[in-house]
Amino acid sequence: MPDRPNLRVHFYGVQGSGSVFPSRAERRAAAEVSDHDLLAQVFADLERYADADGRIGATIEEVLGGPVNRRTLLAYRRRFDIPEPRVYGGWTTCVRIETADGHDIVIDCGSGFRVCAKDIVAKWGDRKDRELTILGSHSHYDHTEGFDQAAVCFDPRNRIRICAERSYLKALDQNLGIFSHHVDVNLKGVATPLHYELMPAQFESLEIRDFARNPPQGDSDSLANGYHPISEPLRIGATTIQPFEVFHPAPCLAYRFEHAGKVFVFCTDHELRRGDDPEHPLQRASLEAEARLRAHSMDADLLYRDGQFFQAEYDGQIGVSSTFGVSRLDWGHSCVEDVLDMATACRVKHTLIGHHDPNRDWSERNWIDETLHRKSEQEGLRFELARAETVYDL
Amino acid sequence: MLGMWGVGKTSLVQQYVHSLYSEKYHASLGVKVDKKTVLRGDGQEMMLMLWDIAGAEDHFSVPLSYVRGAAGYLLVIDGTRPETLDAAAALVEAVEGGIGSLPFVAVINKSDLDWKLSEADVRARFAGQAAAVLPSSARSGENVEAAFLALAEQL
Repeated sequence: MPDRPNLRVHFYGVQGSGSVFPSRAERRAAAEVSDHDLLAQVFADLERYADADGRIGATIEEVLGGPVNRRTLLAYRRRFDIPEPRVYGGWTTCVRIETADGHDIVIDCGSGFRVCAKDIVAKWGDRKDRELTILGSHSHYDHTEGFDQAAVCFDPRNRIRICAERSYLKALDQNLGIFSHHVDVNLKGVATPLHYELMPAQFESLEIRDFARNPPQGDSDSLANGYHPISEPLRIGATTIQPFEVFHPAPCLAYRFEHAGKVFVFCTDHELRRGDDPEHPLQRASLEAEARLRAHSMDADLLYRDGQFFQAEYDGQIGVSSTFGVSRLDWGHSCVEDVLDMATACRVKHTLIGHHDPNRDWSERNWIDETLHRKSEQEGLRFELARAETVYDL
Repeated sequence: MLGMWGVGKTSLVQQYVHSLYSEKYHASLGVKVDKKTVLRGDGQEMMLMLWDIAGAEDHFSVPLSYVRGAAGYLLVIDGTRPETLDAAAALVEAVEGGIGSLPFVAVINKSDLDWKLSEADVRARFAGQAAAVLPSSARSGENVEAAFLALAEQL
């Protein structure tokens, strides 16, 4: 691993729809697994002191390497490597990318953005270069809800450039007025007490737009400070970022990052539609989006992709962690099975399946992830459920 | 279909529904639903909705939400892996504790290979619980039809 990776990808939130954390019963179940693993290792360690009859002939001090106190107990504990409980999802979508040439790029401002922004503020300290680029996927609340809780928005020295499809810019602006410096009197204070006058960072918007379909009429407007054609990559230092449209009820963008040959593809909220009619306009649009996603994902080093449902759940044969099913056609999310097929066909080295359904039990997430781990060993490609507070270096 | 991972649940369903067998093992994820009509001994036709549920893992087992609503289940054990018998017994205990008693048929799969447990072990383990205990092979097809029919007779 290089000292300074080309791309360091931090996952702060990978939960779909709403922030979800394990219930008390689920925490207890996870603790039981950890307790079992720890006790199994401790008793295996004690076998070193057993005589031929299996009787342990050692004092506690000998086992611990000193008298019983906090230091010796914790030192003894550190001998054993117990996996941490896995936090799948947690906060809603927010991912940060640190590039080797020092840039910070954030994708989406779900509730994970609050935690992400604290890290950025701590990293920046009092440095002079204080520019953050945020790339938005789409306007839904679970991708914008953390914006006005983020410390980075409250320091006038910070310059925050938000690049996104127009509806994402509008979702941030309509309640906060950060681009237009206007909030409708009927909206002010309704969804949040905050607005642009209370958020002193410098905000700038760049609308990513299909120029062929919708050419801009000027250089800017009240919402967009500028426009960027979706066909062209954004360039931030030595990192190239190619946006492309995926299929969701709201206009939604995915992004392909490339830096020194390393590739990360981020694709949240995309539905590979499983309708019956191949000529249905939505079906065709979905398949076209899937083809774009596949083209941009070929041989990627890391892929994050929405895999909210199993096919049986999508078809309504079963609910998510419940017996009662309802069809998920046109809900805007893909099936885990399709993600695996796509990642395998595209030879993606490491696939993180995210945008977890909020109703999926924590124990089920662990169960699925264990199966994915075995599947990875079979396929020679790595698949896992995306987890919060994880970092990957490319 | 309940059992530990790798015992052959999907292979049994594939053999039963599609008369297919693949040597390559593909770990199942979540659940896949299939169906087949069966003619019971009493002459009644029954449509079986077969929920091929991914196997219990080493640390985390099958969520009961997948089993709730089932009329019965095929409990699959791999005759070459004794630990799959313990896992099967744990699944029965979980179903009975979380949902209640459901009819089940225990299938000891992979009869075409050398077993490391005996049919008597399995019979003893599920005495008074399993409606039937059958050796089977998804590869050769031995007792595959019989196992599903035995379950259908209980429903």
